[in-house]
Amino acid sequence: MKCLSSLRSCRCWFAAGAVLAASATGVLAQHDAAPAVTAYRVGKVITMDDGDDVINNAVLLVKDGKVQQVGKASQVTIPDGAEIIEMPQCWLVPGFVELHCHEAGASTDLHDYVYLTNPDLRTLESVNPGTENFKSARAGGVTTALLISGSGTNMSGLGTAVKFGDGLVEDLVIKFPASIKIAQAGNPERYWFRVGRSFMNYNLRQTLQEAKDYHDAMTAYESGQLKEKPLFSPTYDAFRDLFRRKFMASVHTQQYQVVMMTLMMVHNQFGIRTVLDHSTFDGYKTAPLVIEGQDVITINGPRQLYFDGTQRKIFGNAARWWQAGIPKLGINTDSPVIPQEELSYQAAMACYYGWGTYEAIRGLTRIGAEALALEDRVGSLKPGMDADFAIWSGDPIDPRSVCWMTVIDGKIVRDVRNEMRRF
Amino acid sequence: MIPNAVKIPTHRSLAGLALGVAVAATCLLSPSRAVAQSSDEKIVVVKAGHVITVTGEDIENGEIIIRDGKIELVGKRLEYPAGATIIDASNETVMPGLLNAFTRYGLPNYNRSGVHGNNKGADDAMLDEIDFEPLLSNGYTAVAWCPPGGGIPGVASIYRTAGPEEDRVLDAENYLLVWMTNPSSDKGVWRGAIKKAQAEIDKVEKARKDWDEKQKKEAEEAKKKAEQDKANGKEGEQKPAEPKPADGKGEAPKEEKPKEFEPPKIDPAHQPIVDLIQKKAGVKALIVLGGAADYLHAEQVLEDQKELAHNYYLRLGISSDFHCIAEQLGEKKALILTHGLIGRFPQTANRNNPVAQFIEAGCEVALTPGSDSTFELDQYRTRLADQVRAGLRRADAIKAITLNPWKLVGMDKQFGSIEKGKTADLIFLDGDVLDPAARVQRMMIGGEVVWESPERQASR
Amino acid sequence: MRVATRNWLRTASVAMLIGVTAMPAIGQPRRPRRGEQPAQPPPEALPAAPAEETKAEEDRWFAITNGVVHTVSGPVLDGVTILCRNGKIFQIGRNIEIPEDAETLDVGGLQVYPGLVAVRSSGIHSGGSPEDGTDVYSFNMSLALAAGITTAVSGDTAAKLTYGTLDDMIVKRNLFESLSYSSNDPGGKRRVREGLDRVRQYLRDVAAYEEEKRENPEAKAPDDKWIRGPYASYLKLLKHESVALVDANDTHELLQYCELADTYGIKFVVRGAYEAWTVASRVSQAGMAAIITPRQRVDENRQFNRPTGSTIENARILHDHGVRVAVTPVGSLFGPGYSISLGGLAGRDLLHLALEAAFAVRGGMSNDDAVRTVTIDAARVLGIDDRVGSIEIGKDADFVIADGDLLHYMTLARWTVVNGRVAYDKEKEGIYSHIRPNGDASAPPPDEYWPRRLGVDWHREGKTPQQP
Repeated sequence: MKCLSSLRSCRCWFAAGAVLAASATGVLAQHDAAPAVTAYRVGKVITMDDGDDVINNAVLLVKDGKVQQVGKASQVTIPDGAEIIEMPQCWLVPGFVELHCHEAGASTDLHDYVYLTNPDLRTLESVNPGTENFKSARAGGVTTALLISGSGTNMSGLGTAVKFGDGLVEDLVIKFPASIKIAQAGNPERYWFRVGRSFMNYNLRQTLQEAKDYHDAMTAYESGQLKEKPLFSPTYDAFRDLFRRKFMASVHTQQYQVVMMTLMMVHNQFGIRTVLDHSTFDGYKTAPLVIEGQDVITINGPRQLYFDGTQRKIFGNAARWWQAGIPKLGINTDSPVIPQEELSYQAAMACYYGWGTYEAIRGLTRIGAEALALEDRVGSLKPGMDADFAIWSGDPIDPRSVCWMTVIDGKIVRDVRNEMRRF
Repeated sequence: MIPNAVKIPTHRSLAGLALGVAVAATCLLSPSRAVAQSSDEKIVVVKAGHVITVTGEDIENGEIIIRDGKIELVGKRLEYPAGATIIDASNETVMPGLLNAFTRYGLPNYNRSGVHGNNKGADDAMLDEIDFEPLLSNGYTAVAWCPPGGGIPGVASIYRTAGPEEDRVLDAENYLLVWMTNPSSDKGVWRGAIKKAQAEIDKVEKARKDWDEKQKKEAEEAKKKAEQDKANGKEGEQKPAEPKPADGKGEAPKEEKPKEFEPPKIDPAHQPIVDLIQKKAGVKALIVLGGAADYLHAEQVLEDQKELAHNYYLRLGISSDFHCIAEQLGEKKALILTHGLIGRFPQTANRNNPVAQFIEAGCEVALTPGSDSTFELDQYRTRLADQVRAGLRRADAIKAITLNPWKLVGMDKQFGSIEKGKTADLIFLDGDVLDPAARVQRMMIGGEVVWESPERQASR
Repeated sequence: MRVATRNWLRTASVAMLIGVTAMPAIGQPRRPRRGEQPAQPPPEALPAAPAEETKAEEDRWFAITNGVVHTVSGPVLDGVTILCRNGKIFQIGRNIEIPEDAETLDVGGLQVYPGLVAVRSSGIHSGGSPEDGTDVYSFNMSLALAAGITTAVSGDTAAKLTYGTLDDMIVKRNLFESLSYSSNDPGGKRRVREGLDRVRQYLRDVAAYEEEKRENPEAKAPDDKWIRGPYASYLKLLKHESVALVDANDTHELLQYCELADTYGIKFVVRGAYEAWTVASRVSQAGMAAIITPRQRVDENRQFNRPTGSTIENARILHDHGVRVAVTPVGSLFGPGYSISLGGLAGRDLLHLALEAAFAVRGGMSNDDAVRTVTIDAARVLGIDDRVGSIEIGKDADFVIADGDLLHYMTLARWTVVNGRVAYDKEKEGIYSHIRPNGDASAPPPDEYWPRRLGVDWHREGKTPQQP
């Protein structure tokens, strides 16, 4: 904790740093000895719960890193001795979930092109807490991210769900494996001396088939149908949860044909939980397939517009997907392509080109949590959920709004109410 | 190699024999519209299944009477001297010969910039070396060869594609070509050229003024001298008379100094622009535009030279934005040269028919093939048919390929339609002009059939 | 104290403007409106126009009615009419008589702002001299107009986005002198100083000569044949006829230019300036103006024992120190922020210039001041504020008529007017016509469920986000 405290004072870099540093350390000291309950009294809480409740003049109680209670100020009793944080003009919004992040680790191993499919690679090894990127994410109200490797190969490794909090890797990693990164067309075509789509599809299907065969054999052995235990595979053992649908495949997709192949192969053929990342250009034309796929989640970005040269029109990708009727749509930055702190600005762009504000906030929070299968921990504010949220000066999607505070697991990891801020 | 100039057997003996009969017949019937033939004239009668006159109504089963290469009469059931040469085209459509008004067909191209008004389009033309067959088989009786290069590369030359050697050149120096497809550089060239031409005009005017003043001065001096001489009496009279026989040749030319004003030489590269400014040019400048904005740039250059006669060549591409200036051109009733191309509105997949749009807006349109490739030449009438299908009126379409190109080069009084007094440059098709299956079978230049299609030759 | 003075000045200017704008039009009997204060017309502020001139046949009239007019240099005027003649603003006020042949645009309660000024651009006008090469029907021009931009700097020329015409395109040429004074090139730095010294000496010599000439008509003028190339540029700078545009980002570079500005009295416009917040008072003292990108992100450099790196508050801090700030957007993989990109990484090019200014609000600048960074202050940085940048009588009739607060992320331009001509019409142009066709940002949900904003509408009131 000592080291954390010094880290914290390090962050106060403004000219009047000495005074502020002292006060920040003071705050922390106070926080260390904090009462069990912290009450946030704010102007508005967007709970993102199943009832889509938005509560004005609300109080949110945090205890032991979890949300204890949330409700109207008049209906919530603040226990005696609770620390009260008063921000009556501000909005309290669940922490944003970034589903396509390359920045939470050492970004140098983003593209390890060993083979065209690399089922054994893991981003877990590269998680690197405490970097500037962590600070950027908190500045944008982002609390959770799926750290995945690059799209240079068809399968580039297992992704890790990380919180942008303070602490050690084991404190921050909330789920591993959280995804298997698959990339279709586009970028992996650049592998080696270029490869074509039919070969890539063949190769990817082979890899997934091998993993599935292993899983089936193991399952058969476990249920007693198979006498002899199959040879243990360190590569494919992690994939068993993929076929048990405990984590998903996040698939780099771009256009119509690519999205379609993803749905047909990954989702329909192998029955894997599928998240369509990027899904740009005319990918929205596959919306009927996505709707048919029931649990397919689409996340859009960082390309937010599509210029249709046949109609002289600029379409918002998110708006097109939404208009086509897909139920679950999220937003991503592909950081560092777009800096992590601009996740909400991506949503602003989606809205500029025709999407809606509330849907966009849901896309930044609950949809992301559902994609990670962590909707019982993050993405909304209900009693028992992780206390991950940010307090904004107003509509979090408006670029003019400031993220004053970011709270992860009940701990205030960003508080710039009395500081100069980078973002 | 070149199957042009096919000799048509003329039955002179028969003609002579029939002469008397014909004269008698005309006297007897005394028709209201008939042509008499005197012995030294040559009369050709085309009996056509269908005549596209362009300026008048189409005629079914009509006759065209041609006297000495000029159209004399067009109509139905016309009378003509018995000695006339009859051309039976009762299964054919006869229409005026076409002009390809903007081409480098058969000629090399050069990169050239700046002002070269003294260049002519046909400078490099060696008629014997050029394969005219693709032009002839598509009905082009003439081409306007434009000079090569950018900027202001020179003047176009109008040549016939067939016929007797001595009649091939119709106009060696026609429209002045001005490129305005890249205004950031072309504007400067065009502006500079006009400025220089104006300077040349001023130079000549100043020289004339100086000369006039000098003349006046000299005249005054001479008058003074004469008066002085008069005052001095007879002494003066004798003096000039004396040296004359003595000096002989030496003095004589000095005395006969030309009294005519000799203007200073004008830079030949700028001569056509000078002619345009002084309205001495018979034709207008042709300004080539690559997009709608180029028109505004061209007009801006001509702001101070509003009188400078000019037409525009709109180089239509598949998604040009010329529709933006259709109204402006229409208001001026401009005659524009362009390609018959069904295109798309920019950044869309929506088709547009620019030619129909220009005509709707009030423009007159002349068409030229999209390029000099044989393919484009062959597609020419097919593209026209496409445009008619897409809404262009048939009459406008035909005018756009016949009369209007000739109008563009200022020769529509002699060519471009079948009416009295025009030169009998005709083409014979075995079907309608808009039928892509129809072919040009024969071509007549100056009343003589000078070309026949290979299949027609073969069948004969 | 300083802030108080500023506020007082603003109040005074607001009062003056209200005085002008609330005045009845000439020759029109004033019809008082309910709740309206009877205004005393200041006599010299009359928009003077002889009657016969008003009726001249060739005049081109254009009027905008029923708008909420954000004058930017003055107050917001609700429901006034703006009458323009020959591309200039002629009258602003109520009960204005609109000539019969005027083209009238009833904007039905939408927000009227002055056209935005892009302090740097590429791909809209042609290089060199824009009026000689620009494709005024280009798609890029339509896109930029859709973003509300009416004036853009191409090279060192400020030019209008005159869609469909070449008339009145140029606002000002030779906006800047270039000057390079970089630590990477010590020899170059020396040459700059020597050159400036030489020209300064020349100016002194000229002054001495002027003095001497009074007594001695035979006095010899100092030689000026050598004043060419960079020297001519230095002469302009030293005589304050022009300003120098320089790229300076970190503190070190900025301080060098500050020193140069102090020594020679040169006016600078610094571009980049992401570390200017660390030396804001110094930059202000040196009389510099800044072209900045609020969102620019540069991590702090822990090697230095001083504040480093970028901050979102840069624009606000500079503005508070009295530095004139203009905003230019951040770039993306597909191109610099001053270009127009259809690559898809939305929000990082000129198409979203106004939203870059919104990030200045995030950094603490007031909404109104942030609007100024892309309108009047941008024009002032370029030295073209006599023509564009605000809605005032006599200025160019350039407007963007938006369907909401200019800096809101769901606001689109409905019309853009350049030189009193409608240059962009959302419905007609079609590029964005399918997005919020009725212009409403979103259907208003029930208050309890989704009030757009809380309590005080600080965005609209032009207030800074309050420290909670």
